[in-house]
Amino acid sequence: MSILVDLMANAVDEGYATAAARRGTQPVPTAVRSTPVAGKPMGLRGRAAIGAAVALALAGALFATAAVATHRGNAAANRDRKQLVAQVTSQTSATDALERQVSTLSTQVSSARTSALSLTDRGASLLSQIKELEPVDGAVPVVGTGVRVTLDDAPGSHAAGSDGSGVIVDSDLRSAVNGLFVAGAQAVSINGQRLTAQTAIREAGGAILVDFRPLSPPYTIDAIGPSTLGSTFSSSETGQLFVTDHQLYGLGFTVDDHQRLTLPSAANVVVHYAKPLGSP
Amino acid sequence: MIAAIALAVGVVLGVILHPTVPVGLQPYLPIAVVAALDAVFGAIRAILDGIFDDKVFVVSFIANVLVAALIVFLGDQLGVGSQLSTAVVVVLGIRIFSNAAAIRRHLFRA
Repeated sequence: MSILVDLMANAVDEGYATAAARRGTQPVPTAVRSTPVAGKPMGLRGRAAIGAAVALALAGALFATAAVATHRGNAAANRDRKQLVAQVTSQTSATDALERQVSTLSTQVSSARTSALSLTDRGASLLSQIKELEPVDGAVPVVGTGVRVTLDDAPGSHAAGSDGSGVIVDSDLRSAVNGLFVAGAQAVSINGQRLTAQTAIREAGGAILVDFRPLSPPYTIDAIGPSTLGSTFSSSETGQLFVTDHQLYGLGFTVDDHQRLTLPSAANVVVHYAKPLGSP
Repeated sequence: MIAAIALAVGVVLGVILHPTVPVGLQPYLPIAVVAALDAVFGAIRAILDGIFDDKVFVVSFIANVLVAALIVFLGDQLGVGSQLSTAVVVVLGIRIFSNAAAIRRHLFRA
């Protein structure tokens, strides 16, 4: 503590007091003081005064430089951020274009396959198998009755000083999707991203990635299933959990039944390891 | 009066020329600024106390800035740079505060 007390007591440089004692001037308040130090040899005093002025000018330049450097640093950081955002946007739209190309091409592939397989009996039976499996796998767009579950961050949960308790995270989306599948959903998409058995829902840098594509709130989860899907999900443990979160943290949570929902096909269905039975 | 003009000239020069700080010196700029602020506030208080001395000011200003930068440099070499710069800022901050309080007492008598 004594260091701090000492610091408070002797805040002014001791050199001033020593110099004053050497000069023989007593510390006097400004109000009483007459013209300072008259009768001293002017040359020395003048030079010291010029030195002080130069030092002050240096101090001013230092302050200005620091301020300018700080502002320039901020501006540079802003510029970098804008560039990154622009890059993200352009790359995302490039990915979108490529995905559209993929879906056109896979339509062509599937129509070519249909015409090739329908030539033989064995092919026809394969075709019916494919038709059965494709909707489950997410390889084709599907339509049917279902529910639309929307999840949204609580209002003000992104404001400064918020503890982030009202923000939807990846595990919320995962449990919602799992809850829907448990309730009997056959096809699910999040913000237009169809889920397959291989789709990852994860979080990176505060953004939720579905199939490695960043999504932003509100999150719309479309699920096709039996007409009781909505009520089953709402009364399930997962549904009740979201209701509680809605009441406690103001999290946006709605479940709406829809007579006709259309889900897109998954962007790419790739099988890496599994091979059809009987193939070499 | 001359002091105020000198300070203003310095600020204007800094803004107009905005000298680029070498990358190696950039970590020491904030510390140097705080040290310079401390010297300036100390000088104002000394003026009000009636014990101001030009030479002491020049020496204390240059020495303050250099020593503060040196301490942080030393800390950087020893791996405690950020802790030491915090220490420098705290110590100089306390001095600036108590000097500002003394100046306030002089000016407003309160």
